[in-house]
Amino acid sequence: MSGNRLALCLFLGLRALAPGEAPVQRGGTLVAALRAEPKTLNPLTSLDSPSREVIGRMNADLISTDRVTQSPVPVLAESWSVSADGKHYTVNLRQHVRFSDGQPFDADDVLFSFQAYLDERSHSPQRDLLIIDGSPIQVRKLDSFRVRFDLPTPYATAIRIFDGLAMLPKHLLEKSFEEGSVSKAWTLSTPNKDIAGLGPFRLKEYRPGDRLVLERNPFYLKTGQPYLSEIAFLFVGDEDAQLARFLSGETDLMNRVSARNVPVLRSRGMTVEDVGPSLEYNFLFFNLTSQAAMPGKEWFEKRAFRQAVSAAIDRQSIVKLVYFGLATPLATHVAPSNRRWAAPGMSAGTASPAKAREFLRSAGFKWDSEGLLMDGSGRQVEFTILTSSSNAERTSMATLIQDDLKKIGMTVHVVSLEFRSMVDRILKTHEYEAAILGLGAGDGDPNSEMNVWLSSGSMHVWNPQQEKPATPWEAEIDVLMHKQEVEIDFDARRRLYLRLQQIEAEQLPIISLVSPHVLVARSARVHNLRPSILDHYTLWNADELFVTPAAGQSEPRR
Amino acid sequence: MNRLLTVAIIAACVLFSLAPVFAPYDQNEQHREEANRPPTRVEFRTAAGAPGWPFVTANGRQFPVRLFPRMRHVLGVPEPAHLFLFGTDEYGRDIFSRFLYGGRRSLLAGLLAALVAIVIGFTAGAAAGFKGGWLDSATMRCSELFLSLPLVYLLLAIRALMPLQVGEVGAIALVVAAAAVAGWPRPARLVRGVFLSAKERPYIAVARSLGATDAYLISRHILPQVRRLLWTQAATLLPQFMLVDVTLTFLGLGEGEPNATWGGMLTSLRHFSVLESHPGYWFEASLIGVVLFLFQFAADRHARNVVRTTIG
Amino acid sequence: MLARGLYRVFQSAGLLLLISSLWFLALSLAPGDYFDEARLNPSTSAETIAKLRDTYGLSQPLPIRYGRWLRSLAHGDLGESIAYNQPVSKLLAPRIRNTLLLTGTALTLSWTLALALGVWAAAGRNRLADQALRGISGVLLATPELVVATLLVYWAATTGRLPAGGMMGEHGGGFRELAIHLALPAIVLTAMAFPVLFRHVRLAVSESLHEPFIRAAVALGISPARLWWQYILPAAANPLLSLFGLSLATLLSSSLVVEVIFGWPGLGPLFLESLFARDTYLLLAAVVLSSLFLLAGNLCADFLLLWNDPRIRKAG
Repeated sequence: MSGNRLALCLFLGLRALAPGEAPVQRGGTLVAALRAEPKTLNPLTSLDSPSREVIGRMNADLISTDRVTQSPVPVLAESWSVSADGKHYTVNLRQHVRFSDGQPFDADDVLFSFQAYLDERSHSPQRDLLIIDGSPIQVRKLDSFRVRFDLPTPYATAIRIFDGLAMLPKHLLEKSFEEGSVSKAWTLSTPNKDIAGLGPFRLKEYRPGDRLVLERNPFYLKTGQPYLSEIAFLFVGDEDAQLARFLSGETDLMNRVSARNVPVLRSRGMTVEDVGPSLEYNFLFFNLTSQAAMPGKEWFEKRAFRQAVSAAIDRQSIVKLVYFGLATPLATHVAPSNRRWAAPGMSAGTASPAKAREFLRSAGFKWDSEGLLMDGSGRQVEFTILTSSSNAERTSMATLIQDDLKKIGMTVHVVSLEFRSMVDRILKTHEYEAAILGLGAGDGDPNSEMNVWLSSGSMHVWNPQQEKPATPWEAEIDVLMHKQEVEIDFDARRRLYLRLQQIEAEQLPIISLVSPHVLVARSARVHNLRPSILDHYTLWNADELFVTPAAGQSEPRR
Repeated sequence: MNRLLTVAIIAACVLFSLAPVFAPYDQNEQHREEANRPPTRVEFRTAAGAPGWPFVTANGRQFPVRLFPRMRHVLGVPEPAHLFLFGTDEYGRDIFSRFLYGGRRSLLAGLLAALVAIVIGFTAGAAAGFKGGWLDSATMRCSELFLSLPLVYLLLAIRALMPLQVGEVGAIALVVAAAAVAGWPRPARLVRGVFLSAKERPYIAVARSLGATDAYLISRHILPQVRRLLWTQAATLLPQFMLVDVTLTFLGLGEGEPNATWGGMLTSLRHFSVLESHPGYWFEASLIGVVLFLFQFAADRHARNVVRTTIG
Repeated sequence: MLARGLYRVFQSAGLLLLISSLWFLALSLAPGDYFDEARLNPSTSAETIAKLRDTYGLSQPLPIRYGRWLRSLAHGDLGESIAYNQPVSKLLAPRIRNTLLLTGTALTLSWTLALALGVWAAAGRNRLADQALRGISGVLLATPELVVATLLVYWAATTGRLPAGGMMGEHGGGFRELAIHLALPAIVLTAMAFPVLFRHVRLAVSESLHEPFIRAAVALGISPARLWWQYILPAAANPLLSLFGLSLATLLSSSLVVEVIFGWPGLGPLFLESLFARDTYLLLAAVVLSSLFLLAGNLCADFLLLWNDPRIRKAG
């Protein structure tokens, strides 16, 4: 595994020496914006992405997933080995590693960290990842720098568990852990000296409502890094405001720019990088729950009806009008960019109202004299699509779909509700007919999608938390998902997941629409940026980033 | 001047209330091939430069603008030409048509809300100021209560209790109710102030000692003083209420797509991308400003005329 | 007078209680809760969410939660934010200070401008200026603050003359940094408040100018200074004092939209966030505090009225 690291270093070295690339400079502040204030600095309890973004810079994990190559990279681990049965992992830790307060790191800290993540009193959302097949991972200390992890069963993505799991300082958190109050530790008002991590940066200053500043961690395990002396996170509520701050030179980076803002940025000579399709998939789905006593629900249960809707939707128009071409149409929820898992040969195809009409005709639907669609018993086909008002793109998609479906005689209404009201209707009260949602597929691995595809899952959106699968194909999906979870052979796993996508395409429980591209804007003074389509799109390699005084920008930045 | 103002107001009312007739297209009609177009060039001169009947050019051919091209439509051009006076939005919908349709809703909602708020405010304020005592404190505390009501939350709660699809009438009713509930305390408190000080004036005491009834006192002596205040209030409240959905949309509580509202359209000006590439929205925003100013100016003028007739 | 004041204060406290319970009710009627967003994360299980809800007592019945909240309020504890895992008071204090800084500046500016220009316009020496001021205030009234604020942000972002948002520079406060960050939001707030205030001032002063006793005073040859300070302005003050009360009352709540657009680190963005995140106790505390301001503002206006107008004093 150290070969891997070496390759990475070589790669970076080459990059740093490539022509046109500025030589590494030390010092300086990188200013980025967060859409909301972080809520906590506690790696155990953080739920929201701004907190995770900040915490990610302040902490380190044992083994990380490289955001560009998507392969595992040792960080605090020096190497690891797996037993033949795939149930035992032995991890050798790096020596002479220190926390940002100067205290040494060893196996006791690893043990403590896992204990804390697994303890119920910590309320850690990461706990679910550490429980495999109903029983927790066992962690044992072999010596001061060797730790063994025992899994109850072979687990397909065991090595990915470590990614993002911050190792905690036992010397600072042990007391509150024993008091059972560790979930309340490390808030934004905790004094700097009581917080320490193994990441490239440590807390410098927090100004409520305004910004959070991290400074270089002098004890960081990669000597000489990070190059930056500070990262400042400004709290800027929405994208328009972020754009304003970026254009005026107050920030250096914009994560996930909306496609509509790309011309605004490019017309000013700003660099916008198109990293490619994200793992986020937007989809339309119908309410298939049994308790939804909606008239016309029997249409939604007809496969031909869903096929007709899917055939009628003009995904190319969505790509063109909503995303200005910077999105990819989807046939299933797996974006083609997710090369490891996408089914070859599945493409979204173009809209075909004629095909849609054929599906409908075969299922006994008719059209009246005005061209309105009627079901077999003479009722007009009319339903409502629910979207979240906080997501302009999805509302736009609904508006386009409304028009597409009008062409095959369906009367569709679009209702946009405030986000939590919408989630309440979909997941709790089930008072809706159809809805558009978008989900991020985690790291692209099927395991991060368990809750969506298992019929008992809480995010099995069209019919969540079923006692037992309502349809034969949902039962088959359950079997497939459980099988792939414990299958270690990649090809076998892939076959299982391809079968799932085939069922998905036939049954259309969710009608996948498009996957937007990840767009990143940066100012010319930022170097070594390697944006990725996985979460923490830009700052994942914060320890390698550096800034140069921008050309022609002599005026001090605000 | 006054006549001109009246004519302008009536014209605006007719234009907006008959939006489906004056708009060249339906508010939700999408022309996807024509998305994000600048305003259509309407030419009034022939190639030779002589003034002539207005026409638009499409595919190298000229299409004259037709009056009453279809039943219940005033303006239009035949396909494949289009008449987008303000250009089109991201879906290829005609911004001008949406401006008219949105105006119909916003005017209706604004006028209704201002009326309801002022009627409630006047009644409450007059009763409180004139009667005083417990009625006064009850009304004033009530107004304070309403001023700090969880309006946004109430909207969320009401919305949750309402059926999923509310329709246009429901949406207008929601806006009117919200605006009226939030809007009545201010006029109420101001009216109360006038009543409170007016009823202590010596001439009121004199009138009362001469046997004047409450009703007479109010209508003859106090009301004229309040009328001007009410019109001034109307002048300030009207634009606020017509644009109440700007704030609601900004907060993500507006009615949202696809139906046009002025609030929704003005809110989209917040996007730099719209600011830079859609001159139609600029025209629209300025016209909205003009219309609001017109109504506000009219109410204001009326307030001054009231004074002239009562004092002069 | 003292008894009456105490009575009013007492009344206001009762009202505050009523407001908080109404909010509590509305909050529980509004759909969804804080953990809905975590629910949408496919790797978080339903059990974890349920446990998290339990630790914050979200699954308990409403009256119990309300009772518990009241009890802690009685001990001066505003509760704890679900999202931030911190005492609410710690979150609110710095933001309230920032909000008051902004709204206080705007209030001072708008009242100074409105009083000066309103009196000047009402005095009627210069008809043209009067017309122009009415026109300007009419235009301002017809312009939504959202549009003004957006245009200013756009201008700032494009030209770089002033910061496009925030409150402090890279190296913290300092008067100059503060002033340049404060300028744009304060201008928007002032421009929004000015027309209403100007109109009321102008109306009140011009009405009192027409009062018979003023005409009598003018006829008696009282010096202009005395005429204004002792006769005209006190007579015009009543509606203005009520209005001033309303201005004070909205010190915490009037800047919500502007703060959000300019990224001013005040109560507005936090309030909006907690509103959409259903962060119950944070929201309640923000509401109770702004209601407190509202009640105090009105109370203040009433006392000012009492002080200014002997007739009302007698009637009480």
